[in-house]
Amino acid sequence: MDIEHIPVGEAELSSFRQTWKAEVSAQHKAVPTGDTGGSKSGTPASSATSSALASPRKPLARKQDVAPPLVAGPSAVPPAKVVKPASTVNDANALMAPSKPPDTHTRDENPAISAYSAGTRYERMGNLAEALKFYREAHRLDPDVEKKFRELPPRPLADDPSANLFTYYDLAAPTIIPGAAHTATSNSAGDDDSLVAQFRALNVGFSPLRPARKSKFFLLPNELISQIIVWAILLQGQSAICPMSLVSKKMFVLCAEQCVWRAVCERVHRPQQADQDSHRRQYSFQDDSIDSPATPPPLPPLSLELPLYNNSWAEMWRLRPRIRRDGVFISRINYVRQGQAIESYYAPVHLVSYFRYVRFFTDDEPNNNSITNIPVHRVAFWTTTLEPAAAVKLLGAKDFRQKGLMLGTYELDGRRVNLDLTAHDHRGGGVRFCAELDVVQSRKGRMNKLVWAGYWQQKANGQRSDIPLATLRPFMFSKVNSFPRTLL
Amino acid sequence: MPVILQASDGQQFTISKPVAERSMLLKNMLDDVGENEQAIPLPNVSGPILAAVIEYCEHHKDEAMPAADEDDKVFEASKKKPDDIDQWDADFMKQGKGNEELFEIILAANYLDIKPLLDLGCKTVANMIKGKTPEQIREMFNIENDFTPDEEEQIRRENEWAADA
Repeated sequence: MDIEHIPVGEAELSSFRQTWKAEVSAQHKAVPTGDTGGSKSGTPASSATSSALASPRKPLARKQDVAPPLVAGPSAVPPAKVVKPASTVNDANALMAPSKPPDTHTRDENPAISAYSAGTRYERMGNLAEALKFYREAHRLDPDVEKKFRELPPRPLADDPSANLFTYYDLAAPTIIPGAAHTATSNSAGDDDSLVAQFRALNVGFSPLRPARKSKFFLLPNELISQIIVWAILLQGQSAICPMSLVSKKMFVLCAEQCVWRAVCERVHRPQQADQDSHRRQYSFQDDSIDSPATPPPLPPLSLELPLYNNSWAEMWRLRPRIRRDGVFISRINYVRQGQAIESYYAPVHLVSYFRYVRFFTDDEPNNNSITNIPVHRVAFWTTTLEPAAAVKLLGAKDFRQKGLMLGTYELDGRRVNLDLTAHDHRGGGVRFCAELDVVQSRKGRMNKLVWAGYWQQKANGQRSDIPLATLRPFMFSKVNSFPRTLL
Repeated sequence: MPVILQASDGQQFTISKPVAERSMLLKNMLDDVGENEQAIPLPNVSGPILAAVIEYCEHHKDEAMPAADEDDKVFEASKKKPDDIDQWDADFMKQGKGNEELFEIILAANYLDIKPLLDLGCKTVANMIKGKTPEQIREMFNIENDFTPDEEEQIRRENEWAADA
């Protein structure tokens, strides 16, 4: 720090930079060699993360190697390049809580803790009854078991053969562990650069803006704030999290919670199941609902798909195809038509544009489809020469009827959406058109483009006449502010 | 058979059994204990808030209960547009209730296990957040901003995917 006050020459500075660089690269080199059994795969960061998962002791040992030089000379070193803000915090923690070697043996020997971890396994599998039995047992053996369990170093997930099928709530995530184990976990969390992990490890609370003002908001337990966040997302669309996560650290952590995005995913992708689940007030596999005879076989639970999305519900929300209903999909078709030459001096050419608009509707009509219990999703498909600005206004109106409009239903299957359409005025005696479109990513967003996969006319006699896809252009999404943004 | 509830401030309310059974907590309690002359103490709920909760339960006492074992009824309930707030409910949440009362009602609904009221409360708060800036939300909930500008910037970047294009 003193450097700033002492006038220094350019030469002096550059020589300092050189020694500093040498020091830093020496540290980096020291890391892989110090790691006796570690993988040679790459950067210290990646090997740290992987070995932190595999064994909690190794990164700890390395930590001690690395930490002293960083701490010894930090005052002169600008921290931006080498030390991330996160790891400075971690270092501070490491200094304040002198590291003691994690005692791996207690876990296996303490019957209370082994009962507790059996309970966590059952809980992960969704077997709450069995889990509670073990938790009770553990608490009977040792009332402080929960605290002790949290103090244990994070364990390898390998002890559970079907681990990747389940959601880990706070179990796999870096937990708040004081002492030695803490530095090991949050070190890897700092390496993956995630603010969520950093703030979660800090266990931040809300601090009042004006201490004098008493706010009952602080009394709400986290799960209720999560519910408010879920409702905000469901009612106002995903962009609702942008302002919410900027409120404070705790709010940011809550916005990223697995349970929030799980609730959103299940509500949107499995509306009925989610309803039943929330009434049951517990998350479990569907075993218990299959036996009720009236309901159709339920779709497989979303949690089975979770491994596809890195075990992250938020990622599932971002990547799993869904239909946006807060705007219209627009496909513009241009073609050139030779005009008729009258005086033969010049041949006019007409550039003709027309549009196809697709709007998907929220399910606001009473559901008459009581036999199958499958909700009806309505869609409007309109071919017109009207420009988007005028067309969107008409599409927003209730019960609009225009030439070229077809109405029908849609169903999303994977990333393919199947439209079943009929001309709104039933001209042509009940001619049906079927369209197959794939939801793909556009430059502007994940769910913002529909490309044609099939389009045909379904005649009453069962015949099908295909429309060549070469003449069809993809649909691009365009948000319309006046359309409802609800995801329900 | 009436049920007597006693709020934290000693205020007592006598209500009918169907009204009380809107609350799963009270329903289970009544099932377990049976008919009882004694007042049920609710130390977590203050008198004015309990009065509001009872007003809500009175209004909704005849609706089908979302019972876990009756899938049909659950489905009936789910057919109602889930993002709609019933006009009566909306008025109920508005009249004379500031933020603080609203949070207290949410807490009471959670404690008494009245799912529809809990959802109503959470939806109402969610709607209050609608269109607000982070600054306005902080003001509303009395939360201090504990981010550094760098962190705010990083969060903004991380959330770019959510800002609908």
